[in-house]
Amino acid sequence: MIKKIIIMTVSLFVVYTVLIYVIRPATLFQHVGQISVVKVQDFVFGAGKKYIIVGSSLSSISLTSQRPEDNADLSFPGASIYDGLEIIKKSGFIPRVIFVEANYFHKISYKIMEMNTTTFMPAIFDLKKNIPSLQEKYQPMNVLIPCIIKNIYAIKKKIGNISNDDKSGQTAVLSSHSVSREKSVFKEFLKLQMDYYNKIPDKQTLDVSVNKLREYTKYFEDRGVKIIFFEMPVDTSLCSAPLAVYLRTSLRKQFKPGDYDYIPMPDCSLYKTGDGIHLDPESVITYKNYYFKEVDKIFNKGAIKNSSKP
Amino acid sequence: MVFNSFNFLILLFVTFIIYYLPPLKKFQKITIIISSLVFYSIGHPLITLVLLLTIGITTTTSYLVLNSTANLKKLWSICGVTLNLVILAFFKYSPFISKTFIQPDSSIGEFMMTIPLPMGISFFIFKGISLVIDAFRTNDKKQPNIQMKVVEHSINSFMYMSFFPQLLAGPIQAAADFISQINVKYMKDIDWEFIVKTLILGYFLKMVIADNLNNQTFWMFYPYFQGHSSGTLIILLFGYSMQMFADFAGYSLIAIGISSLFGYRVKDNFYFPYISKSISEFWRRWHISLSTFFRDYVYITLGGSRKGNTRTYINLFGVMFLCGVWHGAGWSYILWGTLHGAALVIERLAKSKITMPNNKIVNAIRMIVVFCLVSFLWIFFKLPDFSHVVKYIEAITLNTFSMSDHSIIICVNIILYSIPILAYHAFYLIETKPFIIKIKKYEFILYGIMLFAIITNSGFSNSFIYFIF
Repeated sequence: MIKKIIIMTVSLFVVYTVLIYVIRPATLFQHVGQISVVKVQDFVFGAGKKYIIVGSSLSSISLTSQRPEDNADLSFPGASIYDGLEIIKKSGFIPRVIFVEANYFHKISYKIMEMNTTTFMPAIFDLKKNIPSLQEKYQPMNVLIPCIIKNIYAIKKKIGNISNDDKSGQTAVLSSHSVSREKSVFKEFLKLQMDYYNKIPDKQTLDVSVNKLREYTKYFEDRGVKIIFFEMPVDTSLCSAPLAVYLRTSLRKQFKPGDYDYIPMPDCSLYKTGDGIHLDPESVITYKNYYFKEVDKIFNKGAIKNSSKP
Repeated sequence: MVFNSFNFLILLFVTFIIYYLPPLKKFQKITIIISSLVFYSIGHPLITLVLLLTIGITTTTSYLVLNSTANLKKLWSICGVTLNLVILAFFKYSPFISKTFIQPDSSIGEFMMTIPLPMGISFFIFKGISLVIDAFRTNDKKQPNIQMKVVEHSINSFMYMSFFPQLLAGPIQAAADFISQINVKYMKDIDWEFIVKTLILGYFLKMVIADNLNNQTFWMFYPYFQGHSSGTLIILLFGYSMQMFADFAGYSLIAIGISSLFGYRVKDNFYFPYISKSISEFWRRWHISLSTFFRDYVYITLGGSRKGNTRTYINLFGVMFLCGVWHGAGWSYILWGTLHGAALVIERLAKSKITMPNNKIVNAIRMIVVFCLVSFLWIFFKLPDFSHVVKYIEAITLNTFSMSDHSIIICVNIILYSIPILAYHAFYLIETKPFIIKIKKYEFILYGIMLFAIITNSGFSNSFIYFIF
């Protein structure tokens, strides 16, 4: 029996590995944690990138979409910038520029590193790098889900068409209820964020964070890497809240704008969020346009010499 | 240390080799004790002192119970049980008591809030209580193995209480059952097929089902659930119910498999609980070792069903209340136990008044009702803050907006990962059908698929849910 089980498992694994090699199927990730792990694996198993963004979920909006071959996005939902910085350090790649999201630079955590403990184990690193079917990206479920989702959307589209023909007014009543509920949910999220943004960290906590950030910036600057800070827009009420102001001022005090480049914080009132801190799809487009323009300005003023733009 | 870590695999391998080395056979018990201490102390060496203290108290009192006159036996057993409960209360309930009855910002309150919760304390304390009570109940003729010389008794007690496969989340094996199995073990006696099948199923349930579902049910936490539609919230509850089963049944199977590797048989801890037709049946199928513990050491001690109807109802309710308290120091757990207790009492009352027809449709409806009730009540485990439970229920009734793309992905994942558990339960219902008996010889295909899924589709390693209890 045991022999049969092993033969069965090996056969399945070989067939699946060959399929992945040959077809390279479309995949859909199951959850944000997996997206983060795949980002890390794509980064460390791939060729080094010239421009890297490190940040939290706020900047996890494809700011690298202009030239993906040169850019890497190491901004992770629920994580801190220190995860991204540590991953770059561990990978051994030396980029030209690192864009550091500064919204929550006071939070030190290494959640994504902890999720990737096996990725960085020497023997497993080589196995995962060379056998794609062992990578999180190609989990069988990630290959199966897109097929199912496609069918669900087809059904949803059909049902959607039917409800558009609904003349009874029921749909309109329901959607107005939904909008008011969504508004009340938004208010609750915003209130929770406001509670968070009204408290500032104590000096000791901030000092630890500043020292940590300085450690990383020094490590990369010693290797010729340019550090550029940027702050993601949030809800107007949070933009000028005590925490945001305190962190903004402290960062500029410790990393002087003369020595470091900053992408200026845009006017928050131009942006809308779903929960107070994460931009809604329209605002993502607005911010991306702004961000690319500002990056161009920094590059044009000659901050980065002899390099192509990100 | 958790069963799904590399460190554990190394420890298991080393222990296994030393344990079965012929020249070291007489040190088998010591080998297990040392491995258990390494297993428990890695990461939290100081907390091991709590385990050692409990073992010390239990070993001493149980020895005194075994070697005292009839009058003193009772005294020492009360002493042993009480001291175990005091340790449990101190470490597990101090923060709760501080929050509820003392001002947390006072010096005592502050101290109580900082008391750490040793992993698996509820489990090893219950094993300690089992050892003391079994010693008290020991009759030389019936259970000769539990009575022995002081050194042997100490080593056996130490091994029983610290046995690493069962240390963090059970199963809570009765002392008499475990100690009677202590003798020299031989590699030739290992039932490899049973172990391989049990471990594959256990790791599959934990690493493929529970760990992957855990990433979906994350959205049940406050405030994230507020943004999801009613349908998604109901599916999330269903998913959490599946996760609870997969996580704990998976853990229990791994514990049973590893115990067998060292020659110790452990009874099943789960027996297809989600096909139960009543709450009482559910408790005979879910966390069987805990239910058995409460039945043998609490319910029967209180008089069980021998002292009239009213007393039976009080006993049933009381046991489930205690079961809730055992699970966690918080009002949510108490409420969870109380509701289960109330359900058991109502069910018993109804049973005496109404005779249910025994046909397939009625049975199916009963199964669905019990499953829905049990699944709904798990919400108190996921959201220990009661106000969040209220908000969750409110969100189910108010979030009538349609599912977002993100919600669709969550729901598809939950449904796909739940299919193996539903199939597992369905298999039990059709197990005796001739068709199933015929294809049973191909079960290696199923185990092959599960092992393949463990290699390619495991979720992120998470601690087991029951470690915090």
